[in-house]
Amino acid sequence: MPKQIITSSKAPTTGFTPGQAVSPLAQAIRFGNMLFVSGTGSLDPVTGQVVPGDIVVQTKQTLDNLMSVLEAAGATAKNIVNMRVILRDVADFPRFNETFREYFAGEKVTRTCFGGVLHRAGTDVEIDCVAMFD
Amino acid sequence: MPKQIIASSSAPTPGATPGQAESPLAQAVRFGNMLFVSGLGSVDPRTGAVVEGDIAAQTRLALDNLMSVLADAGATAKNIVNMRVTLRDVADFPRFNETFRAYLAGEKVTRTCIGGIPNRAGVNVQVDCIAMFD
Repeated sequence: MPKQIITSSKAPTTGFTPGQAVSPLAQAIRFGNMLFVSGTGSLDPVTGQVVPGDIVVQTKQTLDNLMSVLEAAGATAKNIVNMRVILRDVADFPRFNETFREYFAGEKVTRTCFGGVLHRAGTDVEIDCVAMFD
Repeated sequence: MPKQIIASSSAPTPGATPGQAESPLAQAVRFGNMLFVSGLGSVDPRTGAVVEGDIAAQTRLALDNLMSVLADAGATAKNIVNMRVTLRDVADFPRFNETFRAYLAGEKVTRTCIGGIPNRAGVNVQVDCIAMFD
């Protein structure tokens, strides 16, 4: 059973650095009934440029990007079992969390959130996830 | 096959911010033979308050909380296949690791440990895990 590479034109490419060799990164990989989604941030899906804004704006854009990748894989929030969140500044946590709660209202997921240093300047939140299928 | 939400009254609720809407966070989600547990720290299971203490005490309580969630899902340390640890101060690593070794004595797991900033003030170690069932 091979890895199935998931590609969405409605979400930014991960690890994109202009002028470099072809990226070994997939937006998501499905293997059997499991789907692993690369960390994504507040990037414009088309231009790949950082979408600036406060943590609320960035969280929504990041989750929109993540959901676009899930959609391309035939999944929704109902399939998400685990999420990892990295915040550049943990002082943003309350507003991030409020936005996250509204975004996933009615759904239940597991999540681990911590403060860390995002490699892309201007992005203040990065999120990845694991999803599963019936 | 739906997600099965695991709720343990003997472990703290993750991502709790008083006064906010209902949380989309589960302590753990089981899907098929896999169990994903949210990141947990040194937090009192009943009051939800941070339990301060040295890294050994915090590590034990974080692991106690994790094991309580596993127990309510019908799992033990024997089911853990992967763990992720975030330490606020990597200078704590030797004592964290010593405590971790003693706690999981006789068991084998995979683990990745990084230095990062737990979003909850006073929490110096955060642990999550993935477990699997026969």
